[in-house]
Amino acid sequence: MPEQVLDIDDLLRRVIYVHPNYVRPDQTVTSFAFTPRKINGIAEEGLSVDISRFTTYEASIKDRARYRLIRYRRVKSEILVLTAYTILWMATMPTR
Amino acid sequence: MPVSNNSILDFEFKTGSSVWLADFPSLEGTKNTMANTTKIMHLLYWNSSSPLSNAAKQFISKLKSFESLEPNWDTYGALTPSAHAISRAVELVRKADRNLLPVYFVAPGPNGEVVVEFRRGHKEAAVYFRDDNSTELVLNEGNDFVLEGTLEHNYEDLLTFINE
Repeated sequence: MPEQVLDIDDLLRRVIYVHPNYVRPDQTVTSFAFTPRKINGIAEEGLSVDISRFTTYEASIKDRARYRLIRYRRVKSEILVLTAYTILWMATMPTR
Repeated sequence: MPVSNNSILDFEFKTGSSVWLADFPSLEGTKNTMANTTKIMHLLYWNSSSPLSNAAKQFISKLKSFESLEPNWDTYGALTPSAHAISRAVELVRKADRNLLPVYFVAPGPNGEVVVEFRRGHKEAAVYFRDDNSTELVLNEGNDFVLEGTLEHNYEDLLTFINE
Protein backbone atom coordinates (compact mmCIF):
# COMPACT_ATOMS: atom_id res chain seq x y z
CA MET A 1 0.00 0.00 0.00
CA PRO A 2 1.48 3.41 -0.94
CA GLU A 3 2.63 5.47 2.01
CA GLN A 4 2.26 9.21 2.38
CA VAL A 5 5.63 10.93 2.04
CA LEU A 6 6.07 13.61 4.68
CA ASP A 7 8.13 16.75 4.33
CA ILE A 8 10.46 15.48 6.99
CA ASP A 9 11.05 12.14 5.32
CA ASP A 10 14.34 10.98 3.92
CA LEU A 11 14.09 8.81 0.86
CA LEU A 12 16.55 6.04 0.11
CA ARG A 13 17.46 4.56 -3.23
CA ARG A 14 20.03 1.92 -4.07
CA VAL A 15 22.69 2.78 -6.62
CA ILE A 16 24.65 0.00 -8.20
CA TYR A 17 28.36 0.25 -7.45
CA VAL A 18 29.83 -2.95 -8.87
CA HIS A 19 29.23 -4.25 -12.40
CA PRO A 20 28.22 -1.72 -13.49
CA ASN A 21 29.23 1.25 -11.38
CA TYR A 22 26.91 4.25 -11.34
CA VAL A 23 29.37 6.35 -9.36
CA ARG A 24 31.88 8.16 -11.56
CA PRO A 25 35.54 8.51 -10.57
CA ASP A 26 34.82 12.05 -9.30
CA GLN A 27 32.11 10.57 -7.00
CA THR A 28 29.20 12.08 -8.91
CA VAL A 29 26.36 9.75 -9.81
CA THR A 30 25.19 9.16 -13.36
CA SER A 31 21.69 10.34 -14.16
CA PHE A 32 20.82 6.74 -15.01
CA ALA A 33 20.45 6.24 -11.26
CA PHE A 34 17.46 8.59 -11.44
CA THR A 35 16.06 7.52 -14.80
CA PRO A 36 12.56 6.03 -14.64
CA ARG A 37 11.99 2.63 -16.16
CA LYS A 38 9.90 2.38 -19.27
CA ILE A 39 7.05 -0.06 -19.47
CA ASN A 40 5.99 -0.68 -23.06
CA GLY A 41 7.89 2.42 -24.08
CA ILE A 42 6.25 4.70 -21.52
CA ALA A 43 8.32 6.04 -18.64
CA GLU A 44 6.99 5.36 -15.20
CA GLU A 45 5.90 8.35 -13.18
CA GLY A 46 8.48 8.54 -10.43
CA LEU A 47 11.15 6.36 -8.93
CA SER A 48 11.01 3.54 -6.45
CA VAL A 49 12.41 4.59 -3.09
CA ASP A 50 12.33 3.49 0.52
CA ILE A 51 11.09 5.87 3.18
CA SER A 52 13.74 5.86 5.85
CA ARG A 53 11.35 5.81 8.82
CA PHE A 54 9.95 2.49 7.64
CA THR A 55 13.23 0.70 7.05
CA THR A 56 16.88 0.55 7.99
CA TYR A 57 19.89 1.35 5.84
CA GLU A 58 20.88 -2.29 6.11
CA ALA A 59 17.58 -3.51 4.75
CA SER A 60 17.36 -0.82 2.10
CA ILE A 61 20.78 -1.45 0.60
CA LYS A 62 20.11 -5.21 0.26
CA ASP A 63 23.71 -6.04 -0.73
CA ARG A 64 26.33 -3.70 0.62
CA ALA A 65 29.03 -5.28 -1.53
CA ARG A 66 27.19 -4.37 -4.70
CA TYR A 67 25.23 -1.20 -3.96
CA ARG A 68 25.49 2.18 -2.33
CA LEU A 69 22.59 4.05 -0.84
CA ILE A 70 21.53 7.51 -1.83
CA ARG A 71 19.61 9.53 0.72
CA TYR A 72 17.38 12.30 -0.53
CA ARG A 73 16.62 15.10 1.88
CA ARG A 74 14.31 18.10 1.89
CA VAL A 75 11.56 16.39 0.04
CA LYS A 76 8.20 18.06 -0.33
CA SER A 77 5.39 15.60 -0.61
CA GLU A 78 3.08 17.33 -3.10
CA ILE A 79 5.62 18.13 -5.77
CA LEU A 80 8.70 16.07 -5.29
CA VAL A 81 11.58 18.49 -5.12
CA LEU A 82 14.96 16.92 -4.72
CA THR A 83 17.42 19.53 -3.67
CA ALA A 84 20.25 17.40 -2.43
CA TYR A 85 21.32 13.87 -2.08
CA THR A 86 24.00 12.14 -0.14
CA ILE A 87 25.69 8.92 -0.99
CA LEU A 88 25.79 6.89 2.15
CA TRP A 89 29.01 4.97 2.16
CA MET A 90 28.41 1.79 4.02
CA ALA A 91 31.87 1.71 5.52
CA THR A 92 31.14 4.77 7.64
CA MET A 93 27.43 4.45 7.96
CA PRO A 94 25.92 3.62 11.32
CA THR A 95 23.57 0.69 11.42
CA ARG A 96 20.14 1.75 12.56
CA MET B 1 54.89 9.55 -35.45
CA PRO B 2 53.91 13.00 -34.25
CA VAL B 3 50.48 13.89 -35.53
CA SER B 4 48.84 17.05 -34.33
CA ASN B 5 45.40 16.63 -32.91
CA ASN B 6 43.90 18.93 -35.49
CA SER B 7 45.19 16.74 -38.29
CA ILE B 8 43.44 13.63 -37.13
CA LEU B 9 40.13 13.16 -38.77
CA ASP B 10 38.07 10.10 -38.40
CA PHE B 11 38.30 9.31 -42.02
CA GLU B 12 36.30 6.42 -43.28
CA PHE B 13 36.32 5.18 -46.84
CA LYS B 14 33.04 4.94 -48.63
CA THR B 15 32.54 2.88 -51.72
CA GLY B 16 33.47 4.90 -54.74
CA SER B 17 34.91 7.79 -52.72
CA SER B 18 38.25 9.39 -53.28
CA VAL B 19 40.72 11.00 -50.95
CA TRP B 20 40.97 14.76 -51.40
CA LEU B 21 43.20 17.33 -49.79
CA ALA B 22 40.03 18.97 -48.52
CA ASP B 23 39.51 15.94 -46.31
CA PHE B 24 42.53 17.08 -44.34
CA PRO B 25 42.14 20.67 -43.16
CA SER B 26 45.76 20.91 -42.07
CA LEU B 27 46.83 20.39 -45.69
CA GLU B 28 44.19 22.59 -47.23
CA GLY B 29 45.52 25.28 -49.51
CA THR B 30 48.65 23.33 -50.27
CA LYS B 31 49.51 21.84 -53.59
CA ASN B 32 48.71 18.25 -54.32
CA THR B 33 52.31 17.20 -54.25
CA MET B 34 53.80 13.79 -53.72
CA ALA B 35 54.86 14.94 -50.25
CA ASN B 36 51.29 15.79 -49.33
CA THR B 37 50.02 12.56 -50.78
CA THR B 38 52.53 10.79 -48.58
CA LYS B 39 51.27 12.76 -45.58
CA ILE B 40 47.70 11.74 -46.37
CA MET B 41 48.66 8.11 -46.73
CA HIS B 42 50.55 8.36 -43.47
CA LEU B 43 47.51 9.79 -41.71
CA LEU B 44 45.27 7.12 -43.16
CA TYR B 45 47.73 4.47 -42.09
CA TRP B 46 47.89 6.01 -38.61
CA ASN B 47 44.10 6.06 -38.38
CA SER B 48 43.49 2.56 -39.54
CA SER B 49 46.30 0.67 -37.91
CA SER B 50 47.01 2.47 -34.65
CA PRO B 51 46.64 0.15 -31.71
CA LEU B 52 44.02 1.01 -29.14
CA SER B 53 45.17 2.73 -25.99
CA ASN B 54 45.01 0.78 -22.76
CA ALA B 55 42.26 3.10 -21.55
CA ALA B 56 40.16 2.37 -24.63
CA LYS B 57 40.71 -1.36 -24.21
CA GLN B 58 39.51 -1.13 -20.62
CA PHE B 59 36.40 0.82 -21.54
CA ILE B 60 35.61 -1.64 -24.34
CA SER B 61 36.05 -4.53 -21.95
CA LYS B 62 33.72 -2.83 -19.49
CA LEU B 63 31.13 -2.18 -22.19
CA LYS B 64 31.23 -5.80 -23.32
CA SER B 65 30.79 -6.94 -19.73
CA PHE B 66 27.36 -5.25 -19.76
CA GLU B 67 26.17 -8.06 -22.05
CA SER B 68 26.21 -10.41 -19.09
CA LEU B 69 23.88 -8.31 -16.95
CA GLU B 70 20.70 -10.15 -16.07
CA PRO B 71 17.33 -8.43 -16.18
CA ASN B 72 16.68 -6.49 -12.95
CA TRP B 73 20.41 -6.04 -12.35
CA ASP B 74 19.73 -2.77 -10.51
CA THR B 75 16.94 -4.33 -8.37
CA TYR B 76 14.54 -1.77 -9.86
CA GLY B 77 13.64 -3.73 -12.97
CA ALA B 78 16.41 -2.63 -15.34
CA LEU B 79 16.55 -4.35 -18.70
CA THR B 80 19.58 -6.16 -20.06
CA PRO B 81 21.49 -3.60 -22.13
CA SER B 82 20.78 -3.81 -25.83
CA ALA B 83 23.47 -5.74 -27.74
CA HIS B 84 23.19 -3.20 -30.52
CA ALA B 85 23.67 -0.29 -28.13
CA ILE B 86 26.75 -1.96 -26.65
CA SER B 87 28.16 -2.67 -30.09
CA ARG B 88 27.70 0.93 -31.19
CA ALA B 89 29.22 2.21 -27.95
CA VAL B 90 32.27 0.00 -28.53
CA GLU B 91 32.52 1.35 -32.04
CA LEU B 92 32.44 4.91 -30.68
CA VAL B 93 35.17 4.19 -28.13
CA ARG B 94 37.40 2.84 -30.92
CA LYS B 95 36.68 5.86 -33.07
CA ALA B 96 37.16 8.24 -30.16
CA ASP B 97 40.49 6.68 -29.32
CA ARG B 98 41.72 7.33 -32.84
CA ASN B 99 40.56 10.91 -32.49
CA LEU B 100 42.16 11.37 -29.06
CA LEU B 101 38.81 11.94 -27.37
CA PRO B 102 39.21 11.11 -23.68
CA VAL B 103 36.57 8.61 -22.60
CA TYR B 104 35.75 9.20 -18.94
CA PHE B 105 32.90 6.90 -18.03
CA VAL B 106 30.59 4.26 -19.48
CA ALA B 107 27.39 2.82 -18.02
CA PRO B 108 24.23 1.00 -19.00
CA GLY B 109 20.86 2.57 -18.34
CA PRO B 110 17.72 0.98 -16.93
CA ASN B 111 15.96 0.80 -20.30
CA GLY B 112 18.58 -1.01 -22.38
CA GLU B 113 20.53 2.10 -23.28
CA VAL B 114 24.28 2.72 -22.87
CA VAL B 115 26.15 5.98 -22.29
CA VAL B 116 29.72 6.89 -23.19
CA GLU B 117 30.98 10.06 -21.51
CA PHE B 118 33.96 12.22 -22.40
CA ARG B 119 35.60 14.84 -20.28
CA ARG B 120 38.41 17.33 -20.67
CA GLY B 121 38.68 20.00 -18.00
CA HIS B 122 35.23 21.52 -17.58
CA LYS B 123 34.07 20.21 -20.95
CA GLU B 124 31.80 17.21 -20.76
CA ALA B 125 30.07 15.21 -23.45
CA ALA B 126 27.69 12.29 -23.19
CA VAL B 127 26.59 10.03 -26.02
CA TYR B 128 23.52 7.89 -25.35
CA PHE B 129 22.81 4.79 -27.41
CA ARG B 130 19.13 3.88 -27.05
CA ASP B 131 17.70 0.44 -27.57
CA ASP B 132 15.64 1.81 -30.48
CA ASN B 133 18.95 2.49 -32.30
CA SER B 134 18.71 6.25 -31.86
CA THR B 135 21.54 8.29 -30.37
CA GLU B 136 21.68 11.47 -28.34
CA LEU B 137 24.71 13.67 -27.91
CA VAL B 138 24.84 16.28 -25.13
CA LEU B 139 27.67 18.77 -24.66
CA ASN B 140 28.14 20.80 -21.48
CA GLU B 141 30.81 23.13 -20.21
CA GLY B 142 30.63 23.35 -16.45
CA ASN B 143 26.97 23.98 -15.72
CA ASP B 144 26.37 25.53 -19.14
CA PHE B 145 24.51 23.59 -21.78
CA VAL B 146 26.29 23.79 -25.13
CA LEU B 147 24.58 21.47 -27.60
CA GLU B 148 22.10 18.64 -27.90
CA GLY B 149 22.03 16.56 -31.05
CA THR B 150 22.80 13.12 -32.36
CA LEU B 151 26.04 11.28 -32.88
CA GLU B 152 25.28 10.93 -36.57
CA HIS B 153 24.88 14.67 -37.13
CA ASN B 154 27.15 16.17 -34.49
CA TYR B 155 30.24 13.99 -34.20
CA GLU B 156 32.41 16.76 -35.59
CA ASP B 157 30.96 19.14 -32.98
CA LEU B 158 31.98 16.64 -30.33
CA LEU B 159 35.50 16.47 -31.73
CA THR B 160 35.82 20.22 -31.94
CA PHE B 161 34.29 20.85 -28.55
CA ILE B 162 36.42 18.40 -26.59
CA ASN B 163 39.68 18.67 -28.49
CA GLU B 164 39.95 22.42 -29.04
